[in-house]
Amino acid sequence: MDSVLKRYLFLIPVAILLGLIVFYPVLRCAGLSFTTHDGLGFGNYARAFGDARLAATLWNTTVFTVFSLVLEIILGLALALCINVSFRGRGIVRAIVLIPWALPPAVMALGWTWIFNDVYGVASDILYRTGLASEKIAWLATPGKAMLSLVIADVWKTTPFVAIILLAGLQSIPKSLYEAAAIDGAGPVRRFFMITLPLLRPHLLLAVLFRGIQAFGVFDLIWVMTRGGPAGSTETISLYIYRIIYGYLNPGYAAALTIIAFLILLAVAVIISILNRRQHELA
Amino acid sequence: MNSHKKTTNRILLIVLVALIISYSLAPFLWQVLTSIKPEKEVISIPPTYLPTKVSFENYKKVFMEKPFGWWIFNSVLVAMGATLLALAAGAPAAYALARLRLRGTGVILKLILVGALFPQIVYLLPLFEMVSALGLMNNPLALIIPYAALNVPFVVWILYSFFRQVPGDLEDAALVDGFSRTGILVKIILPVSAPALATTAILVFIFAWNEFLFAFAFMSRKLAYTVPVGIATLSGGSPYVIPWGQIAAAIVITTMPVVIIILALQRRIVQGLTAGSVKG
Amino acid sequence: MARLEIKNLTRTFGSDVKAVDGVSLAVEEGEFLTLLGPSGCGKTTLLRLIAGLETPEAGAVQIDGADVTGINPAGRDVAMVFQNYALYPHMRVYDNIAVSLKLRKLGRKEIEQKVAHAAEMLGIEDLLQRLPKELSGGQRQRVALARALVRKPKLFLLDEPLSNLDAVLREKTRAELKMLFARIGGTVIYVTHDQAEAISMSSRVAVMRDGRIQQVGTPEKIYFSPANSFVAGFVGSPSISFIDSEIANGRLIFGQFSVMIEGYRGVQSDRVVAGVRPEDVTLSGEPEAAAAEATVILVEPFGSFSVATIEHEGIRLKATVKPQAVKDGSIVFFRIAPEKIHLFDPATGRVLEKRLDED
Repeated sequence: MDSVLKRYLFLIPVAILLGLIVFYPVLRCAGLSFTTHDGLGFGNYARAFGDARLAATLWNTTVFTVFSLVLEIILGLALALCINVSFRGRGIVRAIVLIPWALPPAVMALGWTWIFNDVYGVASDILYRTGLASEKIAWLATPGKAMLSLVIADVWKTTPFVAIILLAGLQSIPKSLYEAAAIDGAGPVRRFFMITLPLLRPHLLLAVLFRGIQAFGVFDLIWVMTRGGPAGSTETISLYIYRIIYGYLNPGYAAALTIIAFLILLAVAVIISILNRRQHELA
Repeated sequence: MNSHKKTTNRILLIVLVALIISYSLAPFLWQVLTSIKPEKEVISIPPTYLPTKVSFENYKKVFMEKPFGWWIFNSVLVAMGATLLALAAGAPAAYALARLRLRGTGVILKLILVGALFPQIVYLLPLFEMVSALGLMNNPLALIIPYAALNVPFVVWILYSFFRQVPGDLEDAALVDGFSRTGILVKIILPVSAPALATTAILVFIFAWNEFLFAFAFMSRKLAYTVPVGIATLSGGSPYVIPWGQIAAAIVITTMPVVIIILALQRRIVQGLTAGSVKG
Repeated sequence: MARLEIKNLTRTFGSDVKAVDGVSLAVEEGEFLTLLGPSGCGKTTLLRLIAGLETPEAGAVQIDGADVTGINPAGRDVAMVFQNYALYPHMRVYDNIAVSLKLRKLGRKEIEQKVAHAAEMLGIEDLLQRLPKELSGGQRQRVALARALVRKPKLFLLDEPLSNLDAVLREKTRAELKMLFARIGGTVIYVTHDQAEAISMSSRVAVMRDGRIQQVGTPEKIYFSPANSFVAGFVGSPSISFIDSEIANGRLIFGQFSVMIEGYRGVQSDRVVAGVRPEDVTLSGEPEAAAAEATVILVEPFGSFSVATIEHEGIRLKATVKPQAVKDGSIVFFRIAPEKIHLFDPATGRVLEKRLDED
């Protein structure tokens, strides 16, 4: 018999990696966030409370997250329903659907920048040619449209992930349920709301959790496409924290902002997992 | 009537699939088209959709005028290093959790998963401190270790769910034959789980190949850039001299390996993404 | 080859499921001992305790007098064959067989020679370069055996090695296994739920139920002198009939049937359960002395013999008869050889000593 203690040795590499790169940093940030120029205290948090730029970036982050998330879930669900139908060549279609998710976000962001280019961009050109716009649009240079461009690029990239998670959920629903409902006289739409949606709930919550957190922390896409502009209208919390770390040399304040972002995400994660648990209790 | 309905459904399906395919591929195809246009045609007004003349000068220039080869080398090095490290650390843990009946397995698994929950920005400041303090700026280790750490939760979860499916008798047979626990992991469990390892490796590799924030933050020397950082800096300078054709070529080169991996290994990747994803 | 002794071994799963409950057992060198019992009786757990794959809460395992209770499987020098064979799917047959020798750091020449010898014994020389998935069930089983044989271990532990084979192959392999182990003279602990396997292969059988050994003995002893009604019922096919009976004035009585039990000295109870094996029941078409009338309600032909189920005043029992000797629904007269009747205590199921000359 090998000793019980020895079995825990297998966990050590993971413990070191996660301790060093994940758990220590959070603690370190928490510590730093109470450090100000004049000693320990809540100074950084007090400052954050009155920071208009922080409020603006949090607002931008929320707008970006909510719009992206809603669109991703709707499109992802539609996509999952489509690729759940069996037809010849479904494997290839599934692979193609995955492609946007797997491409490097910073690199594709540059691709989108080109697509949304005001002069040579294909997005403007299509709208212009089809008569939907009377003149070329400066997508990335106009506040509202810049945010819209970012949301479009993000939705394009992350819908496949949502679709795959939901596809797994769809495949776990027993066919017999649909057959029973059909025999009871429920049409396709009815079946969707009666069976698919409720049984998909854990998967939907999982997708919302992961995607929500990632969207909240978005950096690469926005940095490459707008740098947070025009006029700070697309600056999210990640960009703001990055700029403080690399520009203003005020680690204490950057740490406080990091902790604020961390706590917001933690709260959201806890709420979602409570919703998930309630679902399990009902079932 | 019935066959009429069938035909309608079929046409609807074809239209939907065509829509899905173009939605997924159009933005990428536009880069491909842009990349093979001659420089002048790239910035023609109005844009031409199909290139009038196919040219590979953009590809040539990316390699000749920019250290693109170096960036690819760095990216491959970092992605492979991170993949190996994440698997080397994650596999023993997944094995112990799946097979050795440890106390507190459920809690440990959840704790590990927490590591995958938060966006990278949360770790940026302290890691930046660490990297600077240890003199690891521009050193691939500054990326390999964090990438491995951020992916280790996925590695553990995916391998955990696969290892649990390996028949217990196999392990007992190995114990009787005289294997040590480590021997069983390395010589029996890992080879038997080769497909799962491949899936996991692909996912980590794709993450590391794509990552931007840490690479952007910790690699400041041009020759130390990874591909995403390198490409992002191509757009610097005055907006009128942005070499869009070259950028498109670089985008195509960088994304091509990923596209090929995805097309070849779709089934595995879907398995990996969904393995153990919904347990509650 | 070695001697195994188990003392008071106990293994509990969960809070109160005693899979093995204070089992003691000694297996002599060169013996073929079978652990027989229904699923869930603890026989496999007992085997795994012997192998070192489970740790007992109490008790000890000794191999050749040395206590190995705290030693891991590798250190016990035992070999095991698993029900599903547990071949390493990624290794060729050769490596499957050779791996334990490699781990014991034997020289390459010696390994090659030993593998060749084991492969020859099992007739799998031509399969050495194949992967397990390229083998049939029977071939896999042979590879699993070769993997065990090659080490010349102190003990062979076999966990239902034949249960995944089809009926014909199982019977053939049963005979081959018996010859094989007789030839190499190994000490074998064999687990099965198939009483025919146990009876036909073993030098001794240990019948288990609910984590305890019910009886240990030679196959003959188990079959002809079962220690309790469980053993009597589990061993033998077609199975023994149990009849609630009464004993009065030295006679066993049920329904209209009555027979003198010679030398019955038990006074524990007037009511007994009589166990009657089908081959000990004789049927005839005509009334005879000491025979009672019964109706044939079912005839099951087994080729060389048939089993008739007869009913006498609501009591059913089975009788072995010649093929086509009786018909469904016909009236027959049955006799039972009194010395072949097993008497069990209806409360405990324990056998009641009935003969003065019992050894």
